[in-house]
Amino acid sequence: MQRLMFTFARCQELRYISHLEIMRLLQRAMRRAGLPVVCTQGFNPQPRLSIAAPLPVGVEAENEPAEIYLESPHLPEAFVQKMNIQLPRGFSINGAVEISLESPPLMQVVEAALYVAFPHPALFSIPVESLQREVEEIRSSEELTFFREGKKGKKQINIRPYIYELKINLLNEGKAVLRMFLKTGPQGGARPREVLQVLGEYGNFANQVYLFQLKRKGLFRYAPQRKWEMIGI
Amino acid sequence: MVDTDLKEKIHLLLQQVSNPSRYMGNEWNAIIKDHRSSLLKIALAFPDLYEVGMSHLGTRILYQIINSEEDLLAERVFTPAADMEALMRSESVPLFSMESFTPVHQFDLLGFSLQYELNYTNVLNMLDLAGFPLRSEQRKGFPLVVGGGVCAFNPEPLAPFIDFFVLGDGEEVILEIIELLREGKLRETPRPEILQELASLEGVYVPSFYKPKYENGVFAGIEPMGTNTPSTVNKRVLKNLDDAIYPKAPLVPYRQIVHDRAVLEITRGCVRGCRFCQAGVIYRPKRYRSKDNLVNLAVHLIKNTGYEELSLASLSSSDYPDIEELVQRLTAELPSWVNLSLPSLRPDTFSVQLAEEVQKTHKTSLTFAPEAATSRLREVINKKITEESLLAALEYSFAAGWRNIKLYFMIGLPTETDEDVEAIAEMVRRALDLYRRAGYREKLKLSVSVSTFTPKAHTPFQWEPQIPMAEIKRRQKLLYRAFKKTRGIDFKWHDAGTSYLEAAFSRGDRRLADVLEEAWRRGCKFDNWSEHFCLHAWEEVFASRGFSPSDFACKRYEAHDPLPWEHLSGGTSIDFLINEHRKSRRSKTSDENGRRNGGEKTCNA
Repeated sequence: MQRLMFTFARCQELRYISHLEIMRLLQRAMRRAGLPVVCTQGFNPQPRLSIAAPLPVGVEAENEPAEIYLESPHLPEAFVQKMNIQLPRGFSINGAVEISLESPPLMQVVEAALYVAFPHPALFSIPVESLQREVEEIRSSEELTFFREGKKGKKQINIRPYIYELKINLLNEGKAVLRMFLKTGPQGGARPREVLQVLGEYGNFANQVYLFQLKRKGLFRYAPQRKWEMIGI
Repeated sequence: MVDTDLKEKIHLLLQQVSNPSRYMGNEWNAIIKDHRSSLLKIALAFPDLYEVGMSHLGTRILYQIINSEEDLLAERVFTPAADMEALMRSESVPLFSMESFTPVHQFDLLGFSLQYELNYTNVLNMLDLAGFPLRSEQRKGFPLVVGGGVCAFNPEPLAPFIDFFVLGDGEEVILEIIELLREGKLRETPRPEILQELASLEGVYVPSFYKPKYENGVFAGIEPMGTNTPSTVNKRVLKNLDDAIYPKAPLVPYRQIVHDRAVLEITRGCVRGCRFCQAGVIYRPKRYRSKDNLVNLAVHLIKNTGYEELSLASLSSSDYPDIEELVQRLTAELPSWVNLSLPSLRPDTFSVQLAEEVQKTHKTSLTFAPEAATSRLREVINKKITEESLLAALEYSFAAGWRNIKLYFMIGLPTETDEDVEAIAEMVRRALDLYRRAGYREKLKLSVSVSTFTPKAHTPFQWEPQIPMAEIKRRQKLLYRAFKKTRGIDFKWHDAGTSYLEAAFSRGDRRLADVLEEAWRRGCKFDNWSEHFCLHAWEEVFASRGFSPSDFACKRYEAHDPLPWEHLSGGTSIDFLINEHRKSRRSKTSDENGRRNGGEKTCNA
């Protein structure tokens, strides 16, 4: 049995598919590619495929780690090549590497995610200066209340501790990009749209949040040298 | 041709709706062609949500056939969910195709798949979202609109909205239609002449060429107008399934659809002859694909999709001749991770053994449809199974390891008494006892689903009424009470209101078009979804036109009465249907297809 870690990217329309839809897309691509996927035991066998952290619907991604178990050893390069032939436009595998069967599941390693959000160049009506003010306000606050929709109705949470970093980078022609470094993973975290929503409420543009184009740059772990490290190949 | 502004507008809508993958297209195996090099462009519309429409095989077959022609193009269109529709209307985004986000009015032909009466309001809603006037007579300069599928066998309630209908198998006639339209487009033939030419094709029905009569508020016949209009429209029958194009590389949706698996149609038609069943009549005669062809198709289907399940689609899969050899060959040729499924099994031990053969490792669920629980009533409906064979099949299934069994029954069948209804509960209890006595440790999941008999055009029961709504509810309650003391079953029944409306439209005449339009104007849509369905609104609209749904749903026709669909042929003779109907009253069953009674008018054998 071989364990491979790989990273994938998605852009354009493919950003609209959900986490479960990505799982199915990868499973079927592996079947089409003729890769011998190991399945779980039990009544309803499932391919042993996992993605480090669910990707929200509508968010593009550059470097998403995932892992897969194969029955027989494959060259990581061959895996990447075979998969990319079977993937739709807008979705691709960047690279793969063999990892130890003993190392912990990727899902348990993830601590944070880096997002960038671009406001729509023509339709978003809030000037950069005022966006900067809202960002400052959030940074200096200690508590940010958000009502998260759950299966059992709305739940009040404080998302401020989950926001590790929030800043505006200025691009040319007066354009701006919002960088968000957020806690994520099994111990809880904040979602990028939640932060945008809170920002929108402060800045009176809650009805324009959908005009931000979101991209996840990657997932991070907390390395032993007390430094953030992007999970990748 | 692609309007980038529209594309960007749609993208902004997708940022705001739930389940945006319903609208984005770009699925694996989607066929994306250049609009500029296509002489004729066809929009294939399904009047329900993406996940329902994508589960329909017929649309996929037509998509493949049209796109296999170099200079033709077919793209898909589905009904947007309510949140998407609201945004489309507020942002002035017209109904668009999945493949290229092209507005529907830029196509040459808009085809609707009509599988269910409760989708009719969605048809009107989609026409409106596309910017089309609803009525054919007001649509000069717009693409022609065609409807096909089971509901085309009595399409009268839709007659003013659809330019022409196709009866029967679409594989061959679709290209004949397109050829006529292509010539018409080149020569700029006026619309009425094109419709005339279409009406001369076998299987094509142009409703505006027929005029219905009413006497004292009752339908009194329908007459062809003009000299060349056929008095009866025959359905199209594809002679040889093996020669027809079948999608070997079907679309693989991202979103989980209702039937999320590869589908292999092994037969078309059914020899069983159940008297309530419309599919059993209109898909006649029974045709099979050869084993060689099926094995070849199956291998390609799995290779091209990566699906882990292959469904052997048929109205009765255990009736495929030499099904055992087919299953053995499929098991041998397909990768070991592929599960085969047999969706419609006869309730007998042979069929369960077959299911065991295909689901050796992964036993999902087994479904049987005894329909009625007394042998008398089963004789009335010509369902020739015995309780012994059903119980033997169940016993075998339990022993083989199935723990998830579904049983389908119907209430409201002609001649049904309270005893017949209560017998359903007794039959289910006997099935449970069988399981308990055998002492299995695991819990059994036994689902019992009870629908309401809805008379359908072209069946031996087309003259029969549906039982009144209050009576449906009473019998459901009777059954519910009979089940109350029974633990360990999951009992479901169909909503009485939707069955009632379905019955009104399935045998309705052209006067229901106004009702339909008015109901749509009042906001009725997605009537098959309980969160949208509003019976009260429908009753009010019927009343405003001087009707009640029961005038149609609960009407009993006499054998000599004119029927709103009498100018359309389902492929059997009226005498055959009358004879079958009479026999049902004497509790006489018929042989396969009633063949010895001359039932098959269009049989190619």
